[in-house]
Amino acid sequence: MNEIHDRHSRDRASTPSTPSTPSARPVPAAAGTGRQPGTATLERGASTRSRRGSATARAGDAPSGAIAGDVTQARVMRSEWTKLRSLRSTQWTMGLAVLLLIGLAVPLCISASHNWTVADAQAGNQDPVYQSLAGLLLAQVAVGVLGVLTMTGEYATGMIRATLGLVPRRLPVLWAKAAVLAGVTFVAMLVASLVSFLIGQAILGSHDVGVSLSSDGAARAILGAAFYLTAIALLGLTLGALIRHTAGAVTALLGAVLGLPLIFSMFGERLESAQRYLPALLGNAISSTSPARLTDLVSPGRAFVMLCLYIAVLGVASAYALTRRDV
Amino acid sequence: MIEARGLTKRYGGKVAVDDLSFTVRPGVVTGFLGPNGAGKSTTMRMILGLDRPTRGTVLVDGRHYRDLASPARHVGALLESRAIHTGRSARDHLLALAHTHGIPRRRVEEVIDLVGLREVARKRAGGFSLGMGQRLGIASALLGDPGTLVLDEPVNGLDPEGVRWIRDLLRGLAAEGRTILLSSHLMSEMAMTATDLIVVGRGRLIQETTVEEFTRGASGNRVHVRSPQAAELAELAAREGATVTYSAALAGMGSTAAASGLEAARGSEADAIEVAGLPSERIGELARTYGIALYELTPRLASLEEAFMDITRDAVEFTTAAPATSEGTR
Repeated sequence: MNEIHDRHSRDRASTPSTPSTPSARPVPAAAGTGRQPGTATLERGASTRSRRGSATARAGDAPSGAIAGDVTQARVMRSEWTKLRSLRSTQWTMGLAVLLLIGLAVPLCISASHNWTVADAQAGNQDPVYQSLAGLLLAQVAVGVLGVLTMTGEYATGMIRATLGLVPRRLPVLWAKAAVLAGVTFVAMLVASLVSFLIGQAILGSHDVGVSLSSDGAARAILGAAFYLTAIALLGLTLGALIRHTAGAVTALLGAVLGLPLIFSMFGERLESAQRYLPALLGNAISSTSPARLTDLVSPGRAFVMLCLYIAVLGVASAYALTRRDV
Repeated sequence: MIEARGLTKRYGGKVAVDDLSFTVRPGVVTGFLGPNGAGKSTTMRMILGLDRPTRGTVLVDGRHYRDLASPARHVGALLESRAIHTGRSARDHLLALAHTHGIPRRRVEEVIDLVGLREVARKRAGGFSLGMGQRLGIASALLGDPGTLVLDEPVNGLDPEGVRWIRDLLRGLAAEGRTILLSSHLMSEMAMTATDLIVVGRGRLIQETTVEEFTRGASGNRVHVRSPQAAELAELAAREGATVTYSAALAGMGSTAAASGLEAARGSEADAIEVAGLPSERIGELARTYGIALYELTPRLASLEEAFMDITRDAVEFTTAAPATSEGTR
């Protein structure tokens, strides 16, 4: 016993900066329930004294002497930002999304520049803006997977228990993950969309079928593409929170985004009017400019509202599931 | 300080924890002992607010865990399943956890040093050995300098050095006045580390006691006696109501008997007896009264393991399922 004690104090001594005493907070009712209340209280009192020296005090959020402050939404967001940036999967999926978006604009616009006539373009029968942004059809898979992994990666590794153990109210974790993911995705996809547009229009412009950034709806379409991809990432996140398994959540997301439009179209006219409200076609609506296309799609404004609605509904569902379930 | 009152957890039709009440006091290591599937992990998850109790409450420092404004300041936890993302470095893992409570980077570096992970702090946790993973888990638990530590099977799969390191660390942390709840299905580990004991089986509280009382109270306690007139003494002891077995029984006493075993075998077979149900004082007095010479009179406390087997055999729910539980039910 003595030897063990000595060994321990030596271990402690080798890391002199470690605060070696417990929380300075009083233990409520310690005297009432402990088997040897006197001893316990005495020990705690003694150790509390020796500890205050090295601890940091943050004004307002913790009793002086505590190294840990209160959990706040801002702190949880910082934690989630650290988590997101420190994983290779984030760099991979985000890099892939950027690459797909820009990389597909080149062949799509080269192909169009050979096939389109100047007369067609002037008549508004073609959509040069969407042509340069259509890489989002593949980029959405990458950002969607990133969204799913943000949640399911924690369940798969057990990290979720550490996360929710530190934030027992749980919802701040969901909001923080959503905010950080949305922020990162939107910024990255906005830049990528803009670059895609500029490269695409440069190619189309060399055959006089391109448009400029100031042309009608072009800026809105670029913002729309970034917004749509952010929405898909968030849908991935909420599906990840609901399903909690990577494969299941990815399947659900791809089924909804890529599969449903095909199924709907196979039912013919009966579901045609409903089809335009599917996420994929809302994405099409919000990132294109051609009047011809807009006829069988909802307006960009309505597409924005509908996408927000999808996120809100799935967000509420995953918030409910996250707070109710055991982990 | 952890107080559980009538804690119950049901998964579908299966009762994992059944009306469990106990108090874990500060300043000592409290062992949470039970066979696999006894509900230890479930109880710990309920303490941490990860699982919602079906009935009953568990309070940490007088409050529900979910109501704590700064959980890391109150409780640090090491759960059985590693709660570490394999793709993140040890330092980033700790940083991410620290940020939730505004814990400074300096503290992250401190705990890295404390658990001896300095050299691998930049490496991804997925490549960590079991021991390194366990150290990282302990570093996470210590981040907020908590007053209470909850550790689920912390020595599982560790090498002897790692086991010793954890044992020393926990004893030291307890000596600083912290509350420590440590679960294990290894009685020997409990005997080495814990002072208080909460024994559970089939989700129910079997005993809330101390390690010392637990072993002393077990019926397996015997007195080892060597005497040239052993047979005579055996008869006297039996008359007093004791159960006497001859030295052959030594084999059943485990490792302590091994050292003296050789000697006993060489001497007269009948000069050593095991007396159960009579204190050594009474045996000594008997020997003096009847003029019997004693070579040896050694009380043998049952090991924690024997005590555990003994006590769980008495628990109603255990009787029918004893063979299954000793192998593990989950």
